[in-house]
Amino acid sequence: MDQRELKDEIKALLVDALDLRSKTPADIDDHLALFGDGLMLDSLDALQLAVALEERYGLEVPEGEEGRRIFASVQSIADEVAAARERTR
Amino acid sequence: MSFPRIAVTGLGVVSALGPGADSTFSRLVRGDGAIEPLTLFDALDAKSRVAAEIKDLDVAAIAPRGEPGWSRTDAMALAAAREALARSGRPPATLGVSVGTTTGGMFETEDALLEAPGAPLDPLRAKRLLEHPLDRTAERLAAVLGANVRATLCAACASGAIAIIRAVRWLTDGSAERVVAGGADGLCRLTFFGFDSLGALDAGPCRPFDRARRGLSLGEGAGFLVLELEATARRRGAEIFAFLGGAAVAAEAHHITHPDPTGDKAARLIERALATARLRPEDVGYVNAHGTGTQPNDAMEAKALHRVFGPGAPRVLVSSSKGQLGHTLGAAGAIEAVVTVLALARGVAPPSVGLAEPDDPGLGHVIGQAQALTTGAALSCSFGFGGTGAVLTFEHADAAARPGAEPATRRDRVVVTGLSSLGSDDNPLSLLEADRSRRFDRAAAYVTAGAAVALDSAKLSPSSIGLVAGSAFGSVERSVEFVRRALSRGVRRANPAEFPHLVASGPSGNASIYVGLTGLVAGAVEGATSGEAALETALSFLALFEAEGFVVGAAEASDPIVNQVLGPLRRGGGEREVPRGEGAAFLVVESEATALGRRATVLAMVEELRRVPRGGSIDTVVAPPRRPNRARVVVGALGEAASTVLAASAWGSVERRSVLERAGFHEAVGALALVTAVELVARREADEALVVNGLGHETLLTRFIRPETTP
Repeated sequence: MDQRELKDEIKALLVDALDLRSKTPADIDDHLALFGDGLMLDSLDALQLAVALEERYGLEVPEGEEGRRIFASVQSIADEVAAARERTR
Repeated sequence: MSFPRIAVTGLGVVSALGPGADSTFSRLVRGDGAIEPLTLFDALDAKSRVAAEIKDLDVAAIAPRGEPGWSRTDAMALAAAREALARSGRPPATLGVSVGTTTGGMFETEDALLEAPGAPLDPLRAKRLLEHPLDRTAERLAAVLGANVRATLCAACASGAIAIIRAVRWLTDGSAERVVAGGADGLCRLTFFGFDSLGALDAGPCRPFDRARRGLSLGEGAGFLVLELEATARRRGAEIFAFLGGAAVAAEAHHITHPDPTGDKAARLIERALATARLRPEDVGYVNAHGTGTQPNDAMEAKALHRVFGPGAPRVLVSSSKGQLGHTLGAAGAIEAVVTVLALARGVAPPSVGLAEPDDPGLGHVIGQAQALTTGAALSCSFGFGGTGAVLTFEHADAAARPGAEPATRRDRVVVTGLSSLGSDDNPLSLLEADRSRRFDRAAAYVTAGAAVALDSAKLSPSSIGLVAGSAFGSVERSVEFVRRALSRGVRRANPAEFPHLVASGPSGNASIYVGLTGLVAGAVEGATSGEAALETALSFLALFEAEGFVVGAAEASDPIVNQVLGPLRRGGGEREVPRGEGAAFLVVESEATALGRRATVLAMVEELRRVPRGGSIDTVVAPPRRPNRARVVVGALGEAASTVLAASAWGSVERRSVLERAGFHEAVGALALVTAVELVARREADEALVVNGLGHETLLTRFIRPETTP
């Protein structure tokens, strides 16, 4: 799977797992901030997203600073998923 | 402010530190803890494996004649309520029972429903579900203790404290000579897995206010106070443990799990509780804090205490009982009220066990050893999911009444200024902004849309309006599904974002945040009369506080498990077959003075809300219609008893409307009948309308009259 497909898949996952009823995956820019301004997600979304990413990609997102860095945007999540795949290859 | 001085004349506690208020308090003072490895059920892969569990609870021994179907919560509640009543002396002539709880018999429901997912329910498991509703505990207590009035409220972790405040009105309006009020909650998988999935549980015993705190520990138990008017207690020479001198309740309208981080809203709540008791901050010597051990709560609470006490903060002793008893959710506010009363009565403040190094050293934390308490007033604070908070103000039994402390309640007439009703054809989610309602289930959507439409029709901006939303069952299927997912995939793969919405106060909490309601926000539970129970709760708070107004009503969303159980039973019961439906109906009520002051259109006046016990008569509690041809009866769910009561009454020959044809049967039909009655009066089709509703042993009567009619 290339980066583009992966990012689209993550966007679809966001919409589905977080029940973003007014959004479509196409509305989410690769670099849009997910928390704070941007997509305005909150701490409950972070927990739910961590569950969804672990289910789909086996990605374990740590708490704290490292977790915040990974959850910054679709791009940063995709980078992390790709890196994790490299590590397990 | 017109909060009467209420004497506390009885105390009862069942906790993991043992049965009995005194023994629990003594062990708290000694610093004993009860947070140990969980044995009630498998903790699976949860991060926490500990809880303050009552390991020797013998439900069959507590239930009268070993009556089957009692939950652990029921048993804890009865044991604590009995202890409190026994302490208060000879039984009273009239008694009220008020219970706050969040999950009631959920543990037993889980046992019954988790075994065979998807399979049709066998009769035994179906029967268990009939014991599931949260009001079963209050119903059982009322039957065993011989109470004539009862109520069940859910306001998340403030439930116990709010149930105590709810009962005060029964004393001032003469419904009950004494009340036994408090809260009870047994441990269950839903709350344990739910809090764990949120990352809210500490792996070990919780550490309230400590710099290293990592979350809360769950516990279980029950706490009850016996309350009566000071004059009543003095007259009969009862032992007075302390006075409940004031209280305040409010919602933050901030976030479903997180408190307002500034602590400003909590500070204002504490200040209001002090004002109702006519106390100054410097009168307070002890605060039994909510102190859950989570980062957000304890930081918020510390800020609030600094705001209230200013430079005097280090002098005020502060401790949390949750490092020893765990967080007992719906029972916490009541158990901690008992602890606060005993701290005043015995002159000793128990320590915060688990606290070694305070995050905020500027507060008067009680660390290690208990400390002597000499000042005469103390506070018990509760803050819950959905942002509902409650603060109770207690004073030492020797405290003299303060000037202006007449036990008067407001006698303003209450009027209806707004209405809404939604049925299954109105998709409630379509009425709400998608982004702001994305985690709502249908129940939350019904309550939110119903409240918003009602407020809009009342032309009322939300501000300090309260919300009491009735529901009989809550989200049974979603709750069971949440637990099933945790069991099959692991607690870490449960749906964390879903859990906060599953407690019975989830819909009202969500609605308060969406709409911006900052008065009392709670769920009321009473079967098909939950709408009336919600109205009754609002009337009691309007009488007690200078509350601006309330949105009250009920919402029942279709639930596959409830339908499976109740569908066949209704058909098998020989009653006329009415399909199960779903829907919601809400009213905006406010004092006549408030409504006239803002030039609102008054739709109808709430003349009275009465209860007729089985075998009783309408005509002894409600006056006959003044002009029968200008009166209407609106029936909700009319059970056999209610039909008989109505037929025998002067109201029996009055033109009758039923809401069932329009709505199908669901437990919010009582609220729909209330709205229909108000509409008839507002449209001048009738000068007065009486709602008759009830399936069980009581018939609820709510009478609305045209506003210009003088009573």
